[in-house]
Amino acid sequence: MTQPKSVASVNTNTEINPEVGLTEAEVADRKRSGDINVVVVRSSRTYQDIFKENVFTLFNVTFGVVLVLLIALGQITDALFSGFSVFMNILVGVAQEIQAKVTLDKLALLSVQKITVRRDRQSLEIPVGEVVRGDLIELSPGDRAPVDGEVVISQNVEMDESLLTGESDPVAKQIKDLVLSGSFCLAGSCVFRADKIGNESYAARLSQSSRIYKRVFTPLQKKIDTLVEVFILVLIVAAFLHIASSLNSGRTMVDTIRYASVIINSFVPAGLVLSISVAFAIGAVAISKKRTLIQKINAVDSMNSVRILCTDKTGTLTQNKLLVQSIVPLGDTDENSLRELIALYTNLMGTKNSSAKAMAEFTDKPRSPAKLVSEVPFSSSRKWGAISIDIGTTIMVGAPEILLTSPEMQEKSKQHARQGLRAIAVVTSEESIDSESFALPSNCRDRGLVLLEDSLRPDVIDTIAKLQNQNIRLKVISGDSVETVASIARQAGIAVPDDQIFTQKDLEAMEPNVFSRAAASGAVFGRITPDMKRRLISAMVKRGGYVGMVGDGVNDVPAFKEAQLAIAMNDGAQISKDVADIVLLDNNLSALPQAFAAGDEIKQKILSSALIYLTKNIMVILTISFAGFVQLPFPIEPRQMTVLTMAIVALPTVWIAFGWLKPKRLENFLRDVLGYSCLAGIFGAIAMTIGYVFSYYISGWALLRVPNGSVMIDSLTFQDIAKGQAQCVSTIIGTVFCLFVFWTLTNISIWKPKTFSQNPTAAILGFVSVFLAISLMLGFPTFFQIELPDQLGWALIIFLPTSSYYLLRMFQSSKLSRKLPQYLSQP
Amino acid sequence: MPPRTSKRPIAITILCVAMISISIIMISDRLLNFYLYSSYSSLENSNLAANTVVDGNQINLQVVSGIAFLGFGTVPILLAIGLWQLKSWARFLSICMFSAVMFPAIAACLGWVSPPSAENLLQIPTVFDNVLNVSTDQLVSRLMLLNPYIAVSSAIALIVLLIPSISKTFSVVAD
Repeated sequence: MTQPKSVASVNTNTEINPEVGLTEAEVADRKRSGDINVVVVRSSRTYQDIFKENVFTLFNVTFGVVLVLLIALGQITDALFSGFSVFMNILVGVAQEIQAKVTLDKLALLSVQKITVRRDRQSLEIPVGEVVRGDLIELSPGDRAPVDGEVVISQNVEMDESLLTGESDPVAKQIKDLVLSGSFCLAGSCVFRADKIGNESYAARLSQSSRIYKRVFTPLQKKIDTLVEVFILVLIVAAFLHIASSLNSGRTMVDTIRYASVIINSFVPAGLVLSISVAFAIGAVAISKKRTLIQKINAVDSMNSVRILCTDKTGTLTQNKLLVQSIVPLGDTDENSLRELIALYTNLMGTKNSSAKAMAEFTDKPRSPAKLVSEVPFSSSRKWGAISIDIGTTIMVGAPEILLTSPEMQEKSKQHARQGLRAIAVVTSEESIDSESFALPSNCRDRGLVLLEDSLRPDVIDTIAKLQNQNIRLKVISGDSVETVASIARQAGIAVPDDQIFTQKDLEAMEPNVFSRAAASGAVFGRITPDMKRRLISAMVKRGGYVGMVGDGVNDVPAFKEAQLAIAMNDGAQISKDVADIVLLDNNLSALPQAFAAGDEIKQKILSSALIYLTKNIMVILTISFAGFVQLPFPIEPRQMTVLTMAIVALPTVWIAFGWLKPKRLENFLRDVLGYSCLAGIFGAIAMTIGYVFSYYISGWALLRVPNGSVMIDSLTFQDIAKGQAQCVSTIIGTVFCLFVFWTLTNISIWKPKTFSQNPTAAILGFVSVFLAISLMLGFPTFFQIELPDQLGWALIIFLPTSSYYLLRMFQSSKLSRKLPQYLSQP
Repeated sequence: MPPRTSKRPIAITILCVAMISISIIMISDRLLNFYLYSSYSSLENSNLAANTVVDGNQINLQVVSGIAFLGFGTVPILLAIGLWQLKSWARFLSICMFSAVMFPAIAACLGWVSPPSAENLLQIPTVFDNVLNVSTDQLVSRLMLLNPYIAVSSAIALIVLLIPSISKTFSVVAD
């Protein structure tokens, strides 16, 4: 990684007064001259990316070569028909992803970062795209630097440059130090001048850093990809066998390539991979309607997998509108003195967080004219902040268990916390704080407690109940005191037994394995530092839980990076939004159950599509193998394969993807999808093969029984005629069998007529699709290279799919099938 | 010892006996044909043999086709055994089978699907045809003449299997 050049070489506007900023005229002048921070809002992939990823896949390229060969050999119709379903898949895939891109881009505009600039002595909040060169940008904790520039005013600012450098320690910035775009303000505050804007900025050169819509494979995608890889591996072997068999049987070059297209089409469920990306794209749009912005596409799948949801207390469970309920003087301090100390602290401190703002509202201006000497800004890691004033006093404000010296006082603060109040200790000392080590002075005097209350969000109880109904376990990890957090969690409806409450100190003292157990079992974690939050999430993930994390602050970012699903609030710190997988645009946790349910629906759509694809593929592969085994001609022609694929795979998956049909719930990929499709594929292949073989030989019987043998036909003519009918019969059997599988998926049992009326859409769509496909084939027998089935052929078409499907269901409900995994796993 | 009473409806008993009988006839027909083929294939100079047995491939084809027919023949026997034991699966599969026989037979009678004639490549010889002597004058197989009877008897079997009071006597295996 190259460090940026010194800003001195670029427009260093040294004449700008740090207190005033640019004037309106200067801003207008710079806008005219194009010195503006042009920001490309990019929430999704480019059109080029979408096109490339959908068209230039390994499968499409291989299949394309076969199609070109077919065209070169004059088999244009076959080439067109074989390529049709693939072409349709690409078309639907590209169209859907473009539609998703347009919608998500619109939503992304809602979450565009706004920053505060100082112009004409005023602080203005503007979108990052309106920053001009030389603007003075104010940063406070949680803000992301949008451009590069030199610090002109620093109030103990600490920047996190971990996204740029990988270095997790905060970097203190003094005047004239360089602030890099993409870095975040952790503590303190500063004003810096926009020197490098637009594409000159460091983050822009890092290709918009790690933002948004990365093509990351989800667990489900990984499983399906592994499956596709296995299919491709088998395909390579099958390709060799196909060539050997063609050479051996004297098959023509044209036939060899035509059948190669069928084999490729059968082995590689290319449409499945495409339908997954389509389902994700449609899903991202569906979820965005719940006012939830999907920033990374894998979040759709992750949402469904979440079993543990960790949440911060402030802002997620509570409204984050802190109000001082009361102040409690401690020791010999009276209320007025305590009020004065709080007023001094809140008025003299550099950057006010929400607690400080609430305290400032509660107290008036300080009566004392004391001046600030130095400040230790509040940090969520330290859990306290301090100011030194010119009368030789240091006022420290922060967590009671860290600042209060007397155990009785600490117990008193805990009592308040148990009522759900946030207790903040106020402590003074005559010593100043070492600015290097930030060590607390030894002779501190406990002055009082500030009790803040933050009421629950109105819908939080309902939301938590819904999440718990979806088997999601909620854990609250907060920087607040453990008593406060436990009380708020209980009020919100989370069960918090006393043995499931842990503090930072408890966790620090634990051995790694005990810590891991505590992370898994704990319900409330209080006084947790950002790093401990990260460790907790990491431990939960390592123990196999699928962990989601909801947060809004800069202190949540390390944990976000560990969690499998990071959820940020739109009004939260910019860094948390940038790192998160999804952003709740209404800052409302109540969007989560709906979004989770939508994610679940999308996963179900993908699993259903996978089931249909795999069943058809396994069925056709096995039929080809069985027919080869009994040395019969190739059982399916490319054109017949296209009709079969369109009717029973392509159309049903489109209906499911668009939500016209509600497939039944599939829980487990291995058992419900792969296991079932293997079994169904085997039964379907047996039906197809019996139909093919019987039809072939019995037609042969008839042909040989031509009267008196006077028109005895030769073997090749016989093969052509017998093959035509046998292919037609087996293709229709396969189509009907897959229709039954599709109906099962949509809760229709062929032996329960009531189920047809209960699911009329699936019943009608399935029937019409298969009826049209069969009619098309029978209507154009020459084109589809078939002979019309005779009486026996129709008898096979009716009997074989129904009986084999019934046998499949019998096998599934048999004791053997249920106990098979157990028998196989026995030693 | 209490007397054993069968809950099997009489219609099912009759159906089972009929199914087994027809299967035995079909199987016997195939076995007879196998015997005849082996007899005639050795008579190289015979006119019949010259007409029927052209080369090894076709003999093989006839044998394999015969085996396929034998396979068909065993299905009704298996289903009849299941029906005899009042198994639900046998009832469902029998319904499938009789539908598969009835509908194409009706369609063939109405001329919707290829009638089993020599010209239309379907002439399924049965024991009712003269196996070794098919007249060129007769374009329509005797199977065609039997089709209405096949359709009617399948329909009767279907009605028997679909009667609710009879269907209740079958044990449920699959949902």
